[in-house]
Amino acid sequence: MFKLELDRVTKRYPARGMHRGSILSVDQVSLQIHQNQSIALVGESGSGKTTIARLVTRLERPSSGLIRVNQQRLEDHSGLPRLVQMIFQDPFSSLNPHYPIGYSLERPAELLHRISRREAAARAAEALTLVGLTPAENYLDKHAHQLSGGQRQRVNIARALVARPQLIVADEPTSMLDVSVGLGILNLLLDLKERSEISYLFITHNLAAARYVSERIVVLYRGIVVEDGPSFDVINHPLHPYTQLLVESTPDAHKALPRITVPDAQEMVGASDAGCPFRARCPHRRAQCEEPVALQQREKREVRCVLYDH
Amino acid sequence: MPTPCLRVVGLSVDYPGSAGKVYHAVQNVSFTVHHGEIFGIAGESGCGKSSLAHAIVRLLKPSATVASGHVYLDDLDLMTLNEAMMRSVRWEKVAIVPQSAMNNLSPVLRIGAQIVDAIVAHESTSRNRALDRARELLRRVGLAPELVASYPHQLSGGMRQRAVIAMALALNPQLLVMDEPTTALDVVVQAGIMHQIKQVQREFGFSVLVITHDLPLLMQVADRVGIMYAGSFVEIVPSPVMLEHPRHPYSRALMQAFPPLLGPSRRAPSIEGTPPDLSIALKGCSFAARCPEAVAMCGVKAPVAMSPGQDQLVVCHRWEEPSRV
Ligand SMILES: Nc1ncnc2c1ncn2[C@@H]1O[C@H](COP(=O)(O)OP(=O)(O)OP(=O)(O)O)[C@@H](O)[C@H]1O
Ligand SMILES: Nc1ncnc2c1ncn2[C@@H]1O[C@H](COP(=O)(O)OP(=O)(O)OP(=O)(O)O)[C@@H](O)[C@H]1O
Ligand SMILES: [Mg+2]
Ligand SMILES: [Mg+2]
Repeated sequence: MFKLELDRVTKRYPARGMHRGSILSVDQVSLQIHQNQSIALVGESGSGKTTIARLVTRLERPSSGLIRVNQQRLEDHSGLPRLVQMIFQDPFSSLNPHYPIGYSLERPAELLHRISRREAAARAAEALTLVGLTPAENYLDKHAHQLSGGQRQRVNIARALVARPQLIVADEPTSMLDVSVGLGILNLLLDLKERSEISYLFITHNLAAARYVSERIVVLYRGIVVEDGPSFDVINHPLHPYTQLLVESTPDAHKALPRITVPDAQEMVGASDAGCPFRARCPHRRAQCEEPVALQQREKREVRCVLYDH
Repeated sequence: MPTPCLRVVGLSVDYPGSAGKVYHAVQNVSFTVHHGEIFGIAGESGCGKSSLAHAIVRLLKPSATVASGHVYLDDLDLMTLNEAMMRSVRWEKVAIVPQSAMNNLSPVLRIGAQIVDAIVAHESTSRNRALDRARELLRRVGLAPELVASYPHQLSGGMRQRAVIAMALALNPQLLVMDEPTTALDVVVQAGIMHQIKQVQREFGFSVLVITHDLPLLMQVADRVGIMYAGSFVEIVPSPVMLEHPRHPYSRALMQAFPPLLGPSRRAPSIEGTPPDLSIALKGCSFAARCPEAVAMCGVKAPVAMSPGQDQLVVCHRWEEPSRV
């Protein structure tokens, strides 16, 4: 059974420009993804979503903490690309323009699985069929510039699939696509998950899309997990004040426009101190918020807020 | 009885394409925005939203041509004005916040100075008085008046966008046009700005034409919404009607393309295919090739615009049949 675990993973980057010290992009994040499960990571820009994706795909190393795949440390894993693949946000720059689509799919299959050209070609055609680019022969010779954005994103998913991974990390896979095209991609992800044992780490800033694709939602704020729970519960009964604000703000044609008057992100406290990172915007702020808050367990959920600290 | 503030009649915009082709980006569009109304336009990339907005304020790119049509602000036909007259109408009667305007502020001028420049270009007033107005305008959009002294790089994206909206309101226009005013912003910031716009609009009573591809957001903000597809409106109805009873199959498909936040979770059908090539004249309905409800007639005969109610529009052969989905 596939299982990915992040155990108190932290990632610091050296601060840029004239600032001293470091930026804490991801702060003690723990989460688990089981076989055939889809976990959504949501949070505002800069909350650390992509950093987690890069850690899980070993494009970056944690500053501290452990990532385990199937009980084995990620860094010791020899065949990681056969287990974990990533789909990037930008379908326009993530395919090599000089090679035909067929080559972009066959090459990784050949290298990863040490199979023959012919087998790799068959696998590429199979992957194109799975993502709905049929008949596959029509696409193998095409170059990326001959495809629409949605078709390119399908090729990216096909490229991930030829590796036969257990987990796909999808970092905002539809944010650069038109809504109707993006919905097609989300439906494709759902289809693949129904038909195989694949798992997803689905990254989005859209709470509605998170619920559409994932059973569980993990809410990040400034690198910290503030809430984690089943999608339905997180959206219908958000516990953390930030999650509450996020739910309220997410457009929904059935709801009235919320009356939101929160201070803009710019006017907030520095991120590097120990207290709750959300306290400057929080309507429930109190003295304990200046201290670090532990993640509270509440049945199937976790929340990091003094309101639930008993 | 609502009175029209903006009346667009038969407006068409063309762009030159390669090999002598002509792209008909906006095709014979007619609609009305009432005084004090928030009118929203939604549609997918390339359907002509920005071209329509720019044609209305006559700020199209030089390569574009207005192939036909009239734009009336009250009784003034903007298409007949010369450039100098149009410059004074812009800002004073109609102001536009273009797509990604917040990134087009001058980086070397303070926010206050940029608003003051806009005011004194149109009114004979002192810079000091204009600066007081700038402070008041910032306050109106929920920013601290002291920010007149800030440079754009000192502000967050959301604050810059508010400043740009404040600037558009500087000359008290009767119509504010906003093209994707919150698209690049965080949802919380977006909700805050939209709430603020609605409040200011209620207080001062101007009309708003707001464009976004985010239909759920638009329906929260706008009194009436128009759905554009391939250069034309396919449906215009009050937001509550769009929510309960969208008549055009594309409206329904677009509504469903946004997974709902609340309520039961179910799979939405994808819209197969792509929009038509705007350089080719179509015989039938522009959506027919992708429409799950198309019948033979849809591919050969263009539907005419029908009005199912006051200030409503639907362009579909089968509009009278009860909802088929
Ligand atoms: N290579 C890097 N060097 C320095 N800082 C970085 C680097 N990568 C990310 N950061 C910082 O880490 C924080 C988290 O960034 P990250 O890209 O993970 O956010 P995100 O949630 O993916 O945001 P977005 O929604 O904008 O994609 C930000 O403050 C960012 O500036
Ligand atoms: N300067 C131009 N030259 C040629 N064609 C153009 C030009 N600007 C726009 N077009 C074409 O006109 C059509 C409408 O474009 P427009 O920018 O109005 O769409 P839009 O609905 O605002 O899209 P988006 O949601 O991406 O902003 C598109 O097919 C586009 O390719
Ligand atoms: Mg990111
Ligand atoms: Mg546009």
